[in-house]
Amino acid sequence: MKKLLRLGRAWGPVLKAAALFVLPMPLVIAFVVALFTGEFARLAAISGSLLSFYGAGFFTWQALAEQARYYLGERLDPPVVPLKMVSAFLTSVGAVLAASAGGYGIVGMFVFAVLAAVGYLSFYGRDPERRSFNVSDVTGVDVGAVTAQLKQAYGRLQGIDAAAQSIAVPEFVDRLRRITAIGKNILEEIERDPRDASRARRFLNLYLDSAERVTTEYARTHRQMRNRPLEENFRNLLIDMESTFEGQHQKLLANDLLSLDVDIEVLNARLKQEGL
Amino acid sequence: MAKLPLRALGLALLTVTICVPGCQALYHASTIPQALERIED
Repeated sequence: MKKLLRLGRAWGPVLKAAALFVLPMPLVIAFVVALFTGEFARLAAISGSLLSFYGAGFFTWQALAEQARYYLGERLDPPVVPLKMVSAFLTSVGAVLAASAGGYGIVGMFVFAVLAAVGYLSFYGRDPERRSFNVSDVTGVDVGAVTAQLKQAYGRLQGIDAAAQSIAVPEFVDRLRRITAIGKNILEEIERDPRDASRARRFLNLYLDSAERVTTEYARTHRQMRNRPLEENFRNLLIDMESTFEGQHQKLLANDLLSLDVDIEVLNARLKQEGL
Repeated sequence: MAKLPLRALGLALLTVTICVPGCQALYHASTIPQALERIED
């Protein structure tokens, strides 16, 4: 049941693509009217505009579905083609053609194109960032498995960043930014020394997953409403999360220092042995 | 202080940039035949 709820929460935003099918409704009616009146120039502009908006809607649907899979850890990399950028461009083209059908001049069409692209990117966000990990080759460590864990963790951090964008309290947004920054530092640490992956097992498997789930849920339920007791709870949770993440990072750094100490000791012993 | 979420602003912009020219197109498409009818009368 919990899994189903979680899937629903992750897939819910996919429905946002419906906006690109619903908002052009006046154009659909204009298309039917122009079809009867035989105004071919306007009909062509309206048809092009509708095709662009529906195309943008289709690609946005795909982009949001793949993004949900990526944030849930069901796929390790976001799509190769930046589907949201393609859709933003199509939305812009649609707005230009709709403005031309509406009788606007060049300046008007340009203004609509820019505002449509800005509106699209603000509402749907940008494509998730692709990140390649070059995990150092260390004996006894499965580099492939660590790379997969890192990619999954990076996807979850991007999920937290995306959810933070719809939270209306600037303090929480700042705290979440700091948390994801620490998370990224931890991933870099593991990338540099993949032995850290087993030490950061709880972070990779439990903390990140819980952090992503709680943030997404809070962002979903508190877009506009402000509820003081819940805000206080969320604030405490974020403070705990930040200190846990920081603690994990410090643990990995301390471990590096410890292994550096051991390396220096071994080197010293070897130099002494060889009489240098 | 709460800020206006970016997404709400985005949806508002999308609504304006898609619906306003759409309604204008509808207005022009439906008024031209009426104008022609008046000219014919």
